[in-house]
Amino acid sequence: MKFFYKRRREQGFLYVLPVLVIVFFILVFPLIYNVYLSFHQSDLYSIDLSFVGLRNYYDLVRDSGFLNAFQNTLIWTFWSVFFQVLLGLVAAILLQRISYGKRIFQILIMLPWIVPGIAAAASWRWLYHPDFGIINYLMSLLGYDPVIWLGDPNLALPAVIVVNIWKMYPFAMLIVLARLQAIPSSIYEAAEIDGGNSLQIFLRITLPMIRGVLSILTLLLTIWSFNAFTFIYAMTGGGPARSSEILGLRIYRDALENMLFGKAAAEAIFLFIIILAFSVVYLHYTYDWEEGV
Amino acid sequence: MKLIKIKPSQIVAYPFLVVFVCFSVFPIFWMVSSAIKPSTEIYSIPPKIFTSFTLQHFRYMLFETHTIRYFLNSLIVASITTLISLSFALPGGYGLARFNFKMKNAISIAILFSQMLPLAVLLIPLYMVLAFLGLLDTYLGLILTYLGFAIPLTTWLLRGFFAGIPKELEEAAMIDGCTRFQALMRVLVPVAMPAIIATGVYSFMVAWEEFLFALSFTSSDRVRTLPIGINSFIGEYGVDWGAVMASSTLASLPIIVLFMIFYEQFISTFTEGMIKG
Repeated sequence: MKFFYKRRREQGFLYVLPVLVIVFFILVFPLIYNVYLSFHQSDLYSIDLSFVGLRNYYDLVRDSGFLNAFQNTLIWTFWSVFFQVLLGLVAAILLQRISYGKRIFQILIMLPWIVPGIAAAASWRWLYHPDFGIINYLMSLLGYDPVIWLGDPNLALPAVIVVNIWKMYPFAMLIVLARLQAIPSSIYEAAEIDGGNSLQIFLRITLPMIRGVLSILTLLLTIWSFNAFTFIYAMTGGGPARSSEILGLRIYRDALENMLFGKAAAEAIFLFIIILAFSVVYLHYTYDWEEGV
Repeated sequence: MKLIKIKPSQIVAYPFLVVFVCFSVFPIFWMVSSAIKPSTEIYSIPPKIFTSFTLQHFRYMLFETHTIRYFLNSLIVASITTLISLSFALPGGYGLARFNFKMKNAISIAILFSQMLPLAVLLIPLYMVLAFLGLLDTYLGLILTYLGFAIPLTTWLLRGFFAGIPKELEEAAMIDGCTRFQALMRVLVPVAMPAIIATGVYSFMVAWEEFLFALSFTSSDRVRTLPIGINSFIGEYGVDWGAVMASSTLASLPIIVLFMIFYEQFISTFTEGMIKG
């Protein structure tokens, strides 16, 4: 069979080349151009650039609005990912246990992940509606006063975090469940014969087996939440009084509403570096490279 | 009579799963139910769950707004993105799965990392490049942008699938006189059809719901996609919630149906691509 693999090196590269060209022009080149922009200042309504070195970055660190958005992004990401993974893990373990109706339960639980983000944002805004929303109605049945969920500086961000959890926990469930199903049942049977209880089996067998998947899953969800835009934009617009403004929204506003390309580019690079640094450190401490996922 | 054996430990799981299903499904149920309620009942306290059925919101949305146009725009952009990205990903995924060449690992990792790139980093440069090329507010500009995300992703998913197919399959075809590319198209593609469909469905879903770039790179009703249409409905002063819920339902239904039809292939291809990748 050697004949067929003659010149396989060059040939293989040709198959992948079109993909690389696209990746270069649509992802790599814009990234480099963005770095270039972040060292320049652009004036309102003109795209003339003047070199300002690191000033855009220097300004960021002293910009309280930017620091506020950064802090909100950390809060938003932490709580979103924490509950996405937790709920996804619990749902996956429950689904793994049942045999009857598994498929229909899985499909129904996964629906939020399928629904377009903006449709989800619109639906939740309607659920949170202060006068006609069903959440406030249920609260009134329990004897609470109506709450202006998306208009209260203390509640707006948590209210949208709930939507973000709702949208992505099914993804966590999907990935964890697939890994759980790949664990041979003989391992569990052996543990049961040896007299292990459910908690012991979970801590000593299940958890170590799904550690790799949980690690990658957490990283992906963190990156996605860090880059989020749609829910905040469509549900609170960052308000009230910037209490729910996150970096994704701020960059969009500086770029396309205020036309401050240089400043927005610096903010975007800041976001990118944070994500990159987090990913590297995170993988270094959690991911077992030799064992793989 | 077939008896279904259910262990006690299983029965305990059901009530908890019902809670998860309620959490997942209720907001979607409420969206659809608000879309088919008369306005008087949408704004009634206490809210009514089972009510009289009406298509007034759909009628309004379809005949008195640009929603049909937005729907078609979304369909065009998402379909073309899916077809083009599959035609790049098919040879790309095959090449990564079958050959060893210099930089192969570096390329694989680069493709994976491209999924981590913040959209915000691409927003400004892509906006400026599209403006320079005169492609703002065109289908082509939007499709090109989406290809940047769809192609690496579909390549990665198909790579995982091809790696699981035995080499002997295309070698047999090559002994019979096919070139390698012919063997790929005539022998492997039919075998890989379920994975190709599943990958295509995923790339369609991503393009169908994309929001940030569609919002930033389109400005006219001629090109605007359905998500941007929904956004303009909820941005109005005095929101017409019946119309908003009807258009949200319209945006959700096609992909929920796609997902249910291709559920099996979709789940297996997706999880294998993610986990074994």
